[in-house]
Amino acid sequence: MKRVWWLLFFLIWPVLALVISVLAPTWNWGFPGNGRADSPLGEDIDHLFYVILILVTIVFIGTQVGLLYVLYSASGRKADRPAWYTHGNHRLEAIWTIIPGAILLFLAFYQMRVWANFRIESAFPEAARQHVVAEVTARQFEWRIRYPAPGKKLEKTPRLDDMYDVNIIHVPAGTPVTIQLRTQDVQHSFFLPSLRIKQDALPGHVIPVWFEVSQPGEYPLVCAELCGWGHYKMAGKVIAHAPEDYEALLQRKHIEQMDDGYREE
Amino acid sequence: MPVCVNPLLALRVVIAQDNFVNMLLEWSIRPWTVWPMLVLLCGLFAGCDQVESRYVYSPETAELMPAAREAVQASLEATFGTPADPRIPFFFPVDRGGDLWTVQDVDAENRSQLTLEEKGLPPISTPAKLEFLFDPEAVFEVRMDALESGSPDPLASLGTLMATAFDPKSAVLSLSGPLPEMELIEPGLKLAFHPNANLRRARELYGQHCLHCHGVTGDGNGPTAAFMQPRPRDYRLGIFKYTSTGPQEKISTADLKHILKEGIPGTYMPSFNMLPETQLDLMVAYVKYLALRGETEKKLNVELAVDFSQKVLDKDLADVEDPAEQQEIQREFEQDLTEFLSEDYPEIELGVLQDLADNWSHADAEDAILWPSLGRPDPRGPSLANPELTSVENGRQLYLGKDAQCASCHGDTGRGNGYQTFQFQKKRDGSLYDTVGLHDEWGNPLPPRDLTTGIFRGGSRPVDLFRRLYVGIKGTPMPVFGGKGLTDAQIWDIVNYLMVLSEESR
Amino acid sequence: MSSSRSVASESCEHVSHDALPHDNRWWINRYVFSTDHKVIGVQFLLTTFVMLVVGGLLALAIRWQLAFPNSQMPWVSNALFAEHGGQVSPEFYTMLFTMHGTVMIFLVIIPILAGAFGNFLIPLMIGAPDMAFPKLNMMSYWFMWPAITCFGLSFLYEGGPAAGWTSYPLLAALYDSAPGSGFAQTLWLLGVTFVGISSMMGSINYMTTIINMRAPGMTLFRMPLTIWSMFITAVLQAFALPVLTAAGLMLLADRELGTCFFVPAGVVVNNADPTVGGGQTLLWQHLFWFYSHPAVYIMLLPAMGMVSDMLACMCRKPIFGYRPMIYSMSAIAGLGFIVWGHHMFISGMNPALGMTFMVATIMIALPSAIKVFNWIGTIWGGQLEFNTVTLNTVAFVSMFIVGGLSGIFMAAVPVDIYIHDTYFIVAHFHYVLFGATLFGVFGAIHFWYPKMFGRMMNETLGKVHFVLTFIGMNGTFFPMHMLGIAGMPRRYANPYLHEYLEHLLPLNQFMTYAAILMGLAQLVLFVNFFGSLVFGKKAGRNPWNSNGLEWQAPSPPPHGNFDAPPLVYRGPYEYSNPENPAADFWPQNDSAPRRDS
Repeated sequence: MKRVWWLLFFLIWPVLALVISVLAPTWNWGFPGNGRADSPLGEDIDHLFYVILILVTIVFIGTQVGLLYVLYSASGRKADRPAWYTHGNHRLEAIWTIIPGAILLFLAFYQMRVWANFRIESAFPEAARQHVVAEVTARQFEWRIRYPAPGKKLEKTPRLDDMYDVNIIHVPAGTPVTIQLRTQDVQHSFFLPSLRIKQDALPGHVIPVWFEVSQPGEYPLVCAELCGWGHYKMAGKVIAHAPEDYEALLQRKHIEQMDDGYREE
Repeated sequence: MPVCVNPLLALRVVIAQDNFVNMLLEWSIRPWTVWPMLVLLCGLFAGCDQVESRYVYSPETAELMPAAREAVQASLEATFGTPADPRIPFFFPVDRGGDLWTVQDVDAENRSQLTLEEKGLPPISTPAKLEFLFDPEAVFEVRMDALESGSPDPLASLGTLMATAFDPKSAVLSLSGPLPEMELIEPGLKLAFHPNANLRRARELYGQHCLHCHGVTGDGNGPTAAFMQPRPRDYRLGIFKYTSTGPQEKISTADLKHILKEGIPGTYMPSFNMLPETQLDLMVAYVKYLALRGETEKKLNVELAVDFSQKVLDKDLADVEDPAEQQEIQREFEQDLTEFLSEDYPEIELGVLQDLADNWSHADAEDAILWPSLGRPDPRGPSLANPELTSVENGRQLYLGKDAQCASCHGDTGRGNGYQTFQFQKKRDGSLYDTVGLHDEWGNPLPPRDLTTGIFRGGSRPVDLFRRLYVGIKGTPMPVFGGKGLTDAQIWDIVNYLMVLSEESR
Repeated sequence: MSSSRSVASESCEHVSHDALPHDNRWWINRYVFSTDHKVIGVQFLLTTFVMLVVGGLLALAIRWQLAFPNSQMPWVSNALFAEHGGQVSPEFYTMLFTMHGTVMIFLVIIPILAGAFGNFLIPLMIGAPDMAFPKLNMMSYWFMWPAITCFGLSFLYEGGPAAGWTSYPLLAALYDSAPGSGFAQTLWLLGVTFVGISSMMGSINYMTTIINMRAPGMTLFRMPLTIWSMFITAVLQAFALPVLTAAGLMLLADRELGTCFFVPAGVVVNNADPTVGGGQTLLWQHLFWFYSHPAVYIMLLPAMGMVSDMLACMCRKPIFGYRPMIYSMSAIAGLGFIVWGHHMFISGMNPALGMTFMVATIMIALPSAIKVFNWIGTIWGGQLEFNTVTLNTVAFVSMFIVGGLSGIFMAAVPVDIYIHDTYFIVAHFHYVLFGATLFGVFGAIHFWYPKMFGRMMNETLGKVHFVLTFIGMNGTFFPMHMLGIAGMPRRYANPYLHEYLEHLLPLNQFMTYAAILMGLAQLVLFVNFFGSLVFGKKAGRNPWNSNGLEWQAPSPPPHGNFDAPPLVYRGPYEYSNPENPAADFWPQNDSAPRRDS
């Protein structure tokens, strides 16, 4: 094939990749839901994602254009013009070491705060530490949830008046809440895609995970760490309620949990 | 290379002498590239045929005489269809789907037309399968009469009848063929379009969510089942463990749905509460369908196995040594079987189906559900059964005592290690199980629950525990305490004891 | 164009020709149980071809399941699930991706780079008659077979190991935890141990050979980058592998002897008794990734080296920044040892560690970037022609850019919270391992084929293979980025059970068609490879007019490689040197004296 076809070949695919990437959100191939994170922390994460995305896109375009240009010039070189004899250029090497190095270092340090906020307990929001709403126990292949009775604190071991749920976690919206994440058997991972939350559940550990749901609504919960044949089945959801609805719901659940089946005629 | 050896050579003539294509062809027509490729392509298509899904029959069916076996299989297939085309008689309490209409008038002259009662139902999309909901006993009469008189089955033509057109104005339904001349087809008769439509949709859901453990037949033998402890439920006995219905009742539809929603903690049965209600209803219908199919098979087997299993014949032949006599016995045996199948079997079959339909229907009735006659007392307050003691204390004494004998299986401390677990237990037929400890109806080893873990498979609400004690756990050695052994007040004391036990042991 | 200069064989009289061992042994010893590095290299190459087919078919089965869940899988349904109505079980899917990863990593990429090309090229490129330890070399090949046997047998137990190629405990530690965690997992661990032994023998051999057996005049900084990359890889392997082997043995002990290195107390799987415990599942992750992260570079560096050599030759131009290339490879290797934690950001390890690992990981992008710039610099001002080798190497650079850039997302911990264990990571490592490494390998196959077999591969078929593979590869793996951003987790047998993933089905189907195209494209490669053995154009000693020592030996080189041991006068990249106006290349052993430095 002619040279121009190959140049086109190496031109078309990065262009196609860019076009598809730009259009992807309109085809709903972007972030789940409407594309916006449903938690403040998620919004921070999205922001960092877009910062990296923009940087990476610039580098991608730069390098692909560079590659295409050198291919164009090198493949068009006449046979009687020998190639440029050079072993490199120290200044150039220094430039393309120091500039990317500085950018990368900036990127690394720019990420720290959000990470600390998510995982390092001393940086948790105060409200999250106060508000331990449930214990979530992952098992093959479902999520078992234990809530303390209304007005009580979550204890390490189950109490008589604890309330239970499976796969559905009720939380109040608009305030940071913490769940205690455990697993009964193998490793699992607690993944809330629309809140951008993920944390592995480790056998033998109880890991606090905090999140804040901005608006009342239902948010999917899935497992993101291989846990056996039914890994894909571990569907669940977080249901966020307005605070007053949440209190009423807990009361209702409490009555239900203590139901002794006795119906006065 | 001659053209007859290589079809691609002909192509080469057609395509112009473009260098690129030419080179490609040059290389692709070499025999050592073409023939391996052809073999590969053939192989590709050879693997693509679809596997047909089939029900398996129980080992008991396999032990019947061939003629008896075929009769059972024919009954099952006629009544319940195949996995690709599941069906169930309308009188079973299974939500099988389909639109119900009523016949208003039968055109006496044109037997291919019916007038329907208009009740503002949605228009029928034709062509549609249809089924007349005859009274099963009346159908049985008609069939037996025809059999006796030697005439062909008058209902046979109904099997293939389709609705071809429906005029909503005149409410006239056209059929693909004439209706048979018979009294059964009369005004007021119910008519179902697209019968079993739900079952077919349910089968897809079952395939997606349940099949790999519970198997195509619902025998708890799917591809994944082999790795599970405990084994997935075999529906075919029609027994389900955790019910809200009374001791002698089947499981109710609501119970099945409850189990689908909550899962069974401590087993591999997960919760399916993320699926929409409609899908759960369909899955429940399919589980009931499989359970009914299996139970029908079991009941028919019981009827036939007494006289016509291979075992019985072998026993008859065991003491006879003369080959001629043996042949004679075998001939007679088979003759008896033929007679039985033609004369008694149809009635037995009908009876089995009707009994099952009645039993399962009753489980959904109000009065089938068990409610305690008393409220639960405070665990630390006085017992209702023995006011001198606290409820928990009385519960503890009952737990350890002679009346309930809980400790014999669950152990003195509730860890599921009572003395019975160290003994060989008897099977139904009096012989001993091969492995030590308790077993369930399905023959699987069944350790008693460790009551200290706080995991109760049937649910952890007080009412759930009450029902476990009152009703027992069906298909397991956990007995029925309610009604005879213990009063409701005593059961509540034990429940209170168990709840405190599970909290304090941790 | 051909060299008018005489090649430097006469200048080596001081080494007796008779010193070279003559190969007049029985053909079995010559071609099967051979100690000749070239035969072993070809053996590795052919074995990995077979494994590539196996791994590829497993991949296609994965893609089939993702595109058409709950439908019948051709062949598989008939063969394995006939009595269950033809429906494929979910644990079969877990086995598929486990074995796909295992086969591709341990039996294809590592052996094809270090085993096939390392073996074939190292002695030829440094001017040695053979490896330092020929018998050890043969053993390193034959230890692949117990590994292949173990992996093959493991398919027969419970349908095959199913804990993922990472084999995290407890899934991999407890027999009962899932179907596939039984004896199959034990066999898997044995297989990995054998692969490890094989690689270890190889890497010791490569290090020794490269240090001790270089031809006179072949100083360290006159070595081709291929040799440098092989050397760095060997060092990486030698230091990282013992950790994996130890971890594997510990896991075996957990499974078979009841030690609890990785098993904490009180775990209940499959309704069995609670475990006794005392261990820690995280320990496995640390140990495993301490090997497996360097292993990622083991799977990449040799391809980088080979691509550098091929690019220089194809552009008729010295490599741009020879020393920076070496330093950046060393930096990648060095940093590679301290970044394993980025696989574990959300695993529950000390979150403060997350920060240190993040900085190290982001900084490892720097040497990779330097390499990319230098490759572009190499093409800059060169004189190239689009042949199969060029195309594949350019594709390597282009794909490596994508794979490298998508890695930055994962390195940033907060973003990793979201994309960890989604399809984004699958896209990333397939761009690096398939996009970069395999295109490098395809280029290398076409480039060194004449040296291996004395014939050229067909250019047309090579280009057809390249175009189809490139389209299929991007069609399969590029959309995976989108799947990842949409939140589709890895290793899901049927993602569409989840409402927020339902709409991804058409995209997945498209990817499956692309994957099938990519699979069929490899048939073209095999046809070309095996067909050219018979029908290929005869190649001379130096069909590419290359400078490397390997091109000064006959094609294919005889036992003992060179006519006479070569002497090296200059580096390997003296293309288009104005001091040598007669030709645009200047072989390393060309005796013409250099006029100045």
